[in-house]
Parts: sequence; C-alpha cells; structure tokens
Amino acid sequence: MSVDFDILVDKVRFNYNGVEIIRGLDLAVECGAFHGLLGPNGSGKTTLVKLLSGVLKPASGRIEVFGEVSDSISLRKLAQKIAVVPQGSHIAFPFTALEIVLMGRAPHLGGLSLEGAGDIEIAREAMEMTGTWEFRNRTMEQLSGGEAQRVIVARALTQQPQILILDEPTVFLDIKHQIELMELLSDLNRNRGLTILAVSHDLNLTSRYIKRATLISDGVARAEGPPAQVLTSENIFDVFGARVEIFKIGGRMGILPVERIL
Amino acid sequence: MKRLIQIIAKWTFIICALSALLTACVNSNAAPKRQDRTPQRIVSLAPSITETLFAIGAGDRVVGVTLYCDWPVEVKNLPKVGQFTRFDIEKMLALRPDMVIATCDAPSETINHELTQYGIPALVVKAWTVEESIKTVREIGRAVGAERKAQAIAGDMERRLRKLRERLKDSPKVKTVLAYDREPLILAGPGTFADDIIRLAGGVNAAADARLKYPRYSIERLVLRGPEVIIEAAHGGGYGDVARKRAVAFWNGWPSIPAVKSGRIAVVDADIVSRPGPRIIEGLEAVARALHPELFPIEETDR
Amino acid sequence: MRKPLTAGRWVITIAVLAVLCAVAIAAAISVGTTPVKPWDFWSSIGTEEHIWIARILDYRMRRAILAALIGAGLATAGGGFQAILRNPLAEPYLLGVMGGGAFGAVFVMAFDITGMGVRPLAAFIGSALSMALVWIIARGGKSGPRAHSLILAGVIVNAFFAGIIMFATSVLGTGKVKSFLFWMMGDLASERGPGWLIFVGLYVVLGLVLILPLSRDYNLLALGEDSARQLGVEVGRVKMLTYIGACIITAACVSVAGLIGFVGLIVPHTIRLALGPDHRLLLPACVLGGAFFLLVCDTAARSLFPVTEIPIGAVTAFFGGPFFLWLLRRRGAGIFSERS
Repeated sequence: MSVDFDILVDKVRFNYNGVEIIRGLDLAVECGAFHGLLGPNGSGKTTLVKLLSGVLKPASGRIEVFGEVSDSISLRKLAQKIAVVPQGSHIAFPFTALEIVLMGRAPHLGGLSLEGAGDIEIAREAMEMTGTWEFRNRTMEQLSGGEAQRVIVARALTQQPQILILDEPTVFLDIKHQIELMELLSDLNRNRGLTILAVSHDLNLTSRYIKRATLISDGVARAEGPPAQVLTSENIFDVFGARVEIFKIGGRMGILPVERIL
Repeated sequence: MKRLIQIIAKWTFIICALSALLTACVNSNAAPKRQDRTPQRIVSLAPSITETLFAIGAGDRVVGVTLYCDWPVEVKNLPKVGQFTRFDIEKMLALRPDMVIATCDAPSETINHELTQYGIPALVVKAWTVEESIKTVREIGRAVGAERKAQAIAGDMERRLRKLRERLKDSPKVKTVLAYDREPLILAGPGTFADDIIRLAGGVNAAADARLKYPRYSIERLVLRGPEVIIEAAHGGGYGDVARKRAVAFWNGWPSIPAVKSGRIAVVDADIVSRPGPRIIEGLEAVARALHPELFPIEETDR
Repeated sequence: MRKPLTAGRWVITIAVLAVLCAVAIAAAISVGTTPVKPWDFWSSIGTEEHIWIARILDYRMRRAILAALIGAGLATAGGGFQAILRNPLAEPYLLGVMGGGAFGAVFVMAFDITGMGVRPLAAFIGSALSMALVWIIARGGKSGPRAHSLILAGVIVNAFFAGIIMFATSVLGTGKVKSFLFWMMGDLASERGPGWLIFVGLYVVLGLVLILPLSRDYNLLALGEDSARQLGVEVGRVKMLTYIGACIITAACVSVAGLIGFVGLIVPHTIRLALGPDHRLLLPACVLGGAFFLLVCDTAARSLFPVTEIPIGAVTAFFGGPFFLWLLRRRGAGIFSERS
C-alpha cells in the first residue's frame, strides 16, 4: 500500500510564550484528500494552520510537505505549493479586489516583474469561480464581509497551489455563498485533484463535503476517519462539551443540538 | 518590463552625467582668484563691525550690512544680507565682496566653507571685553588697509579709558546690575561685555556669580542681592526721559531694593553697552556716570 | 475604480513625474533673492560679473541637488516605514530617528565642539544611535519587532530626546539656542560643499537600493504579516532591510539639513491617493515626487522673504498640510481600509 501523504504532521509540539498550544499532534493528509480539521475554539486549529504554512516553526516533532521537511523549504517554495485562506483579513491599504487576487501570483513571479496577461487570466478564472469578477476594480473596503472573503479565496486559488488550506472559510458567508463555496471546493478537489484541508467549527456543512475528518481538542488529535465515524454524539460531547443528536436523512448526516430549554 | 527599466536607467544615467558636467563647469568658473589689493567691497556681518568700519573711514567701501546695523545713519540705505547667525548667501554674492568680516557668533562652518571655497577672504573677530574691542578696531583697520585711522581711533579709546580709570581710582566699588529686560528679568552675567564695563566703570556686578552669561533672575533674588544702582539697557531711542520714568515706575514696586530707595535707576542705550565697537567707550562713560554721579561735573549731562 | 498596474501606466507616470522634477530643478536654479538667471552664465562671459553669476548659480544648483536628494530620500523612507508598519501615518520623524539627530547636534553645540563637519557627524551618530535604540526596545522574535512595538518605541525614544533637548535649550545662551532652533526646523543652507552632497547622495542611494526592490513584498505585507509569509515573504528580513534603509536615509538627511518633517508623511500619502497603493509604482513615484515637493518648498523658503529665510521645516508643514487636506476631501476615500 503506498498512499501519498501531501502533509504529514508527526508528534508536533508548539507553544506561545510558554503556553503549550499543540501537544504532540499527529495528522496525515493524503494526496487529493478533502480533509476537515474540526474542533472547538482554542483547540489549536489556527496555530496548526500557521505551522503547516511555514508561519510558525514547531518546537519539536516534524512537519513534512510532499515528503520534504517543511523547515528546509523556503517560504517562497512553500507558497508555490500551499495556499492559505485565513480567517479574516485586515487589508492595510486601499487595494482593489483584482489587485489582491493578483497577489496570489507572487510566489511564481520573480523580482520586480509585473503581472502579465497570463496571470490576469488565471486571476479572472479564479474570480469567476468565486463570483467576484464583477467587483474586481472596487477597493476591498467597499465590499461586504462575505464578498471580501470570497476575494481572498480567489487569491488563494490564483496561487495555483497543490494544497489549499482554509481557516473557517464560511464564517462570513450567507447560506447561498456557503454552499457555493463548498461546492466549488468539492469540484476543485474532485476534478482538479486539489488537496484541501478545511478548518471549521461548522460541523453540519463541513461534514457534508469532507471525505475525512480529524477532531482536535487541546492541541491533540482525538479522532480521525470518515466524518460519519468521527462525528458521533459521544465524540462531540467529549471535544465540544455540547449535547447533540445525530440524524441521518437519506444517507446524509445532520447534527442538531439537544435543547435543554423547551 | 526589464527592457523598459534598462532604457530608463540608461537615460537617467546620461542625464545625470550631463548635469554633473554642467555643475563642474559652473563650479570651476566659481573657483577663487588670487587677490592682493586692499578690499574695496566689504560686507559686515555685525553692527559693531559696521560701526568700526565707518569710524575708521572705510565706510565708503562697505557694500553690505546686517538687518540690525543702524549706526551711522547712512547704513540704513545699504543692502542687508542677513543677521548674526544667518545670512543670505545669494544676496551676499551679488554684492561681489572681496572681504567679509564677522564676529564669532556667525556660523563658522558656513563662513569657512562658502567663503573659502569662493576665495573670499573672511575675518572673524572676537571681542568680549572692552580691551578686546580696542584690539579689534586695530585688527579691522589692518585688514581693510585703514591702519592709520584705526590706530587713531583705538588710541583715542585707550586715552579715554585711562582718564576714566584715573577718575575712578579711589572711589569705592558700587554694587549694581545691568538689566536687558524687565519681564522676565534678564541680567548681564559673568563674561559679558556689560560685566566688563561695570567693572571698569567702578562697579561690582551683583550678578557676577551666575552660571549663565545672561541669567534670568527673579525679582526676589534681586532684592536679596540689594544692588545700589540699577541700570537698564534699552533698545532703539527708548532711553530718554520717558523711558526713565517708566523704569522708575516699575521699580517703585520693590522699595526694599537700595537702588529704588535712593532713586538710582539709570537707563542707557543698549547698543553702546553691547556693541564692541568705537562707541563702547561712550557706553562705559554712561555707566560710570550712573555709578559715580558725584565724580562727573554737571555740564556732562546724560545722553 | 482602478485597474492593476501595467508596464505602460508605470512608464507614463514615471516619465511625467520626471519631467515635473526637471522643471522644478530648472525653476530652483532660476529663482532666488537676486534676479540672476541661468542664461546669464553665458551672456556674461568675459565680464567681471561672470564669476559672481557663476557662484550664485552654483549656490542655487547645489542647494537644488540637496533638496532633491533629501526630498527623494525622506519620501521613500516614509513610504517604506508606512509599508512595514502597515500604517499610513508612519514617517521617519515618528520613529525617533530624528530625535537622536537633534540630540547629537545639541550636544555638540552645548559643549562648543566646533570644526568643519562636526555637527553633521554628531547628528548622524545621534540618529544612528536612536534608530538602534528603537529597534532594540521594540525587540521582537524571528519576524522582527511588531508594528505596534516599533511605533511605541519610537514615541518613547523621541520623547526622551525631546526632554533632553528642552532641558538643553532652557540652559544654553540665547545665541546658541536660536542657531540650534533654526537647524532643528530644517536648514538647507549650512552644509553644501561637494563633500556633503556626495555624502547625502551616497546614503540616500544606498537606502533607496535597499527599499525599492522590496516593493512587491510591501504589497503582500498589506494582507497581513501572516498572509504575506504564506505568500513567500521573509517578513523579518523585509522589516529589517526597510528599517536600515529608511534610517540611513533619514540619518544622513538630518545630519546635513536638520529636521524636515512631513515630507515622509505627506508625499507617500498624497501619491497613494493619486496613483494607488501598489508600491511598485508608489515608491519610485515617491522618489520623484519627494524631490519635486522639497524643491518647491526650498525654493519658496529662500525666495519668498528677503534676507531672513523661513526654515524649510516650516514651509513643508505650511504647504503640505492644507494641500493634503484638500486632496483628501476631494477624493473622499478613507485614509486606509480596515477589515477585521
């Protein structure tokens, strides 16, 4: 059995100012996977994203990307393979949406060259996929939270990565756009072989699309496997501390809270 | 894109090279020339220097003065090139000077720099005491080729100084202060001209132990010192009767000061006690008269 | 509504700015407190006036070059600081660099250390010292000091030096104080020998060489430090190179010309409002725009009032402030966008 792991996290530990956030985490993301990273607030999900994208370096343990230890890869090379959609963006200067999306080409362009027609074409495709092409020349501050978030997704896609990591991507979106985004990710994953790692605490929506899930709490992985196996009411109570009921409707899973107040 | 940058870089370089060439041309044309004659176009950068130049008969060769130069009267019509610490180089150059005389207050970097570069001889004089003023008169006279007249003026100054010393020989020293400003009270401290004048005029400067040259005194502190005479140095025409009345009115608010009790408040022209030129002797005499009125016959009235 | 930067737009914009600069230099050489004009140089050949006209033109030319260099340097340094601090209100003055320079000058003046080049050297050392101090106080981890820390450290260091300077001015004699105050307000008149021009030119060019190539990285930094890193930017290195570049530019300018504020704040800001925030165009435009701005200000400073020159620091504030306000109102756009 040879399974290619795009990302391998091996007993990684990390701490911020002495407070340990990641305590011996193991994670394996296969090539072509649509992998969900689920867990409550403060479980270390965002920290893990930063560790994977090279922003932070683990205190111990190792992270391998495409078989290479991530420590030894330059940030630029890493950026050519991994694209991250962060949880929220604070844009410091009034760039337009298209300018932001074109920044995704940066890891592939050298020095001081300007983006060419080919780059703009890649950006256009990404923006049309995310439904943001129509406001490409408006500045980010003129867009709503959801529109801006989709622009950031387009930017990540413009990087033409092999791995796409999203940190709470649906948080600012209305239901229509939530579904659109997940459908888009699913499509990219299936038809273009894009490996996707999605961090989320929206269990319902995410579990519908991901093919594999890892439950994290307190900096360690608690469970891993197909979503139906991982997302049981016992696991959810252990990790999130919430009582839920799992419904199955026509093969699809639904998670609803158990009301204590009627 | 890269090619565009190259083209722009090439042209920028060419333009820079051309500009450098032009600058070099202009610069070399501005280089100094040899000079051996007596200066015919003199620029003075201090009122004291202007006064000296006119006194020694070089006044017709002065082409530029400072904003503050006002004596003698003809000076008002001369072109102004600046003040003590800053001057307009363009204006100065336009006057085509062949000698510039400044005091050590002027920014020496600029003097050394600009003027030496252009080959314009510059003389920097230093005068903080009356003796040094007399020496400076001679120095300036030598520099502008008016030695004889300068010698005469300097000799006259020395003579009057000697006479004054004689007159004051046996008199007791009078405790006094010289004030440049009332509110806040700024006195002449150690190392200033006025301090030297007070000493030579038979007085003792009550503010001579201050740390600064122009210390700010509180009136209370002055009361503690108890000067016997208060001399105010007033600027521009304000030293007549009106000025004296105003000064007296002010000081009457502190009758505990000996000078106020005895009504010995004097007002002198600030210019003659702060400009190290030929008129410094007049200032000296004015202060002496204020300190020892009994030694001076009634015909010699205050100015 | 703005399209992404193309090579064509870049070339045209830079060309227009370059022409404006050339015009400003020509004007600076033609205008002064005397009616000498550049063509008089040739028309007066052979007369006694010629050498004096040459000297006057030489004075104006050197001053123009100095103004252009300092304007270009300070504007770009300001742009660089704004980029790494992700804050459009940053400028060299804010970060304590100028405070140290002023301290160096006061020190030399207070202890009567005179001599050619002593004050500029002291100011330079003072600036370098205060910049190192700010960096150390704001010390950060692998990715360099955080933006907040740098700004705070700058304010602290500035306040500290300001205190020393205030003490010094209250104790020194009036003549010295006046001379120092003028220096502090910006004085392009004192050091102008070819040696100084080369000194400033060298450091400004050095600083520009460090800052300009980082333009793309500055764009990416606008997304946030983490996002920039995720796009391949070595954030710590970019911050340090920018800081060093901006500081040597500022230290050199301060040492020769005193404190000239506002250039580093207003020029990048104004250009950003007019041309957009893409640093690949913004920064080269700052080089030319800064030179233009300071040339205009300096020419005004020395020609508007006969004999006593206005300090150029006052002119930059006087011109720059209201102009910037007008531009802001016209555009209506916010100074910077915030999205959490």
